[in-house]
Amino acid sequence: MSDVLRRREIPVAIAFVIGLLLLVEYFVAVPEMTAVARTIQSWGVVFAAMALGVGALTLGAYYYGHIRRRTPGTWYLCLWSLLVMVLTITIGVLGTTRHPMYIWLYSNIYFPLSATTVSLLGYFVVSAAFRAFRARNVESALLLLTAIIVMLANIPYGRVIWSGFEAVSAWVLNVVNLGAFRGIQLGIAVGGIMVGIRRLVGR
Amino acid sequence: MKGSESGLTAKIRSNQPQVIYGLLLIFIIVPILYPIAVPMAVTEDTKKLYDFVEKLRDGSLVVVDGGVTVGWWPEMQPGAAAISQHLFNRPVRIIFIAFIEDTSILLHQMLTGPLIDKKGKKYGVDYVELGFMAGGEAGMAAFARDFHAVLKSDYYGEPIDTLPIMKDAVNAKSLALWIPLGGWEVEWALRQVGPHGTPIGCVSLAGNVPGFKPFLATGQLVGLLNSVKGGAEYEILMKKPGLGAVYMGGISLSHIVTIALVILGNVIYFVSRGKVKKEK
Amino acid sequence: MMSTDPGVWIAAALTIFVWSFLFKENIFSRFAEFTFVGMMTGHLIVMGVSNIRSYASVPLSRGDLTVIVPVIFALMLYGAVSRRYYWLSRWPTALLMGTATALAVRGFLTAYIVSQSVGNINAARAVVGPDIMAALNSGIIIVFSICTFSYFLFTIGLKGAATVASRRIARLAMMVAFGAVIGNTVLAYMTMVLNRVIFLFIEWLGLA
Repeated sequence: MSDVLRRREIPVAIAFVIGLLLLVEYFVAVPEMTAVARTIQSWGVVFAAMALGVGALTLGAYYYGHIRRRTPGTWYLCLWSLLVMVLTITIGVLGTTRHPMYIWLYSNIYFPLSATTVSLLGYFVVSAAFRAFRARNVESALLLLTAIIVMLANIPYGRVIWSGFEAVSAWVLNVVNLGAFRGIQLGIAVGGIMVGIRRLVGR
Repeated sequence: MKGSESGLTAKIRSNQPQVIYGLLLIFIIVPILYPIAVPMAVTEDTKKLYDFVEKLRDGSLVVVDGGVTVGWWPEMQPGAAAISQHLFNRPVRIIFIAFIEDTSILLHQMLTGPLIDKKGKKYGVDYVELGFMAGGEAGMAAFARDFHAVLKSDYYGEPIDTLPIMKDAVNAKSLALWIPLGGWEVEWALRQVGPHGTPIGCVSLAGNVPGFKPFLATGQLVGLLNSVKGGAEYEILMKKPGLGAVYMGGISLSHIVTIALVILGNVIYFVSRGKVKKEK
Repeated sequence: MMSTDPGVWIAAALTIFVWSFLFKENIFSRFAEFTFVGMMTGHLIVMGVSNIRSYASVPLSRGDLTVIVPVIFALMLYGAVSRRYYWLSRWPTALLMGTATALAVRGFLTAYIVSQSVGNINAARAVVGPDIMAALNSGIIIVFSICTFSYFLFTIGLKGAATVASRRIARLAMMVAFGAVIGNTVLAYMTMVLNRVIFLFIEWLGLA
């Protein structure tokens, strides 16, 4: 019996039936189908909420491996990370996210770490601007020229340098860029639909 | 002297990235310590969203849907605060919700902090915070379809059936406007909320703005705020300078530095390439 | 005036720890990195638990037993951490995948393909309209969108002069689009750096 349940065809069939139901229900109004689709969509929210724990378990297992093996230079940091995780979960679950301690942790530890990590990109892009952005051919020159025009149009000082940057940037964004991105979005959509259908039929 | 100069040059060359980082830091710090105000123009996309909010009928329901991770919030905050304030200034009802884990707390902090004046509006009647709803795009689709099917309580744990504002809020068709904040959130809204006929106006992450231009052209987006710049422009329209104005004042020199480095890098590249060709 | 709030000092220290990575990876930057990962994962669990309370335990406590089915299915997801019971997680994953795929396909059809094609038809109307600038701009939009779409759709057996020209136009148009993305992205990244600088210099050190 468990061999039958382990067969890969079952999950493929589940995905196909659910996917087909939701697709057909979108275009054909049948009350019973709509009710089932609504229920399935509601279930999806419960799954997604409960799935968040899987990542934590996997991370915990990975850290536990390092702690057990006493990996040099890493194991104590893994232990620290696990402690932080447990502390966060304890305060958040027992006190909810509205608890002053949780808000304190969120505002003084989580937010600064997250924002600073993203801010590293600012430094990297400036470094890349000097070391890597090269107008080696027509295409890269066009890319750089567009980037410079858009950057100058985005800042108030751009108007001081030349008042036309905003108009040129607006034309580039609303005509050339629009045409290119329309084609890209259509390509993404067609590709997304083809990949989706392949996934639903189990390929 | 010549030896020490070449030593300095060699040091700069070997620590090139750090020299560039230092330069950026200086050009970001200087305008903060010595601010220079330069007037800004308001773009068409921001004006469209402002006019749309301005023309909302009394009693309209609007959803503000937070959708960025906490690291990207500084980019969204000026626009989110400005448009939320505009909504509070108008006689409309507002529903705040988040489909990404971090944003419900950030929206709550924004609403309970000094940036927003709620103009005496009553919680549960004029506005409500629904907190975080899991599921991403699927969660948004389920919510847009039927608000009450999945969501049972608000940010504070109160059952939503007891909140007067939620009596009229049935599904996306009940809404006059849906305002997603972020990048993915806007795409999800276009795919899952737009087909219900709900107008969508967004505060977008800067990198996603060019990709949303086709949707502005077709009217699927009624307006768009270009991250912090759009937030500053909205503050100009609201006649209430805030975070956006501070940020725009501060980042202008950093853009000039970036452009200067691009040009300098290319000049050095072409000059050295010319020298190599000559030697050959 | 310098801040006396210990929370601000801790946040400032963590900010400097992360930024120290710009010079070289070191124990402080790694400490900050592991703290971040721990807190982020903990926060995800907390948000998940709060949702489970709202969508599962509260309805169950009110006698709504239909919630038991998705809860059991969702618990099967945790089979993924076990080698023996890994197969259990495939069922709810398949359900999630089927739902997400169908929703995405629906969305792509209406919001992308139909609407953008209508956009091009409207642009075609403007091409034959009275306004010359609008006609020119609309013509550019149509040509670039068709060339770019063909670039991604037709990828083999391309030899004709028209095809080669179309691909060249598409590449040039995309370079402009990506340049616009880069130009705008710099705005985002500089805002993030500025946010941290404002925090350090104004909120922490009180220099302005």
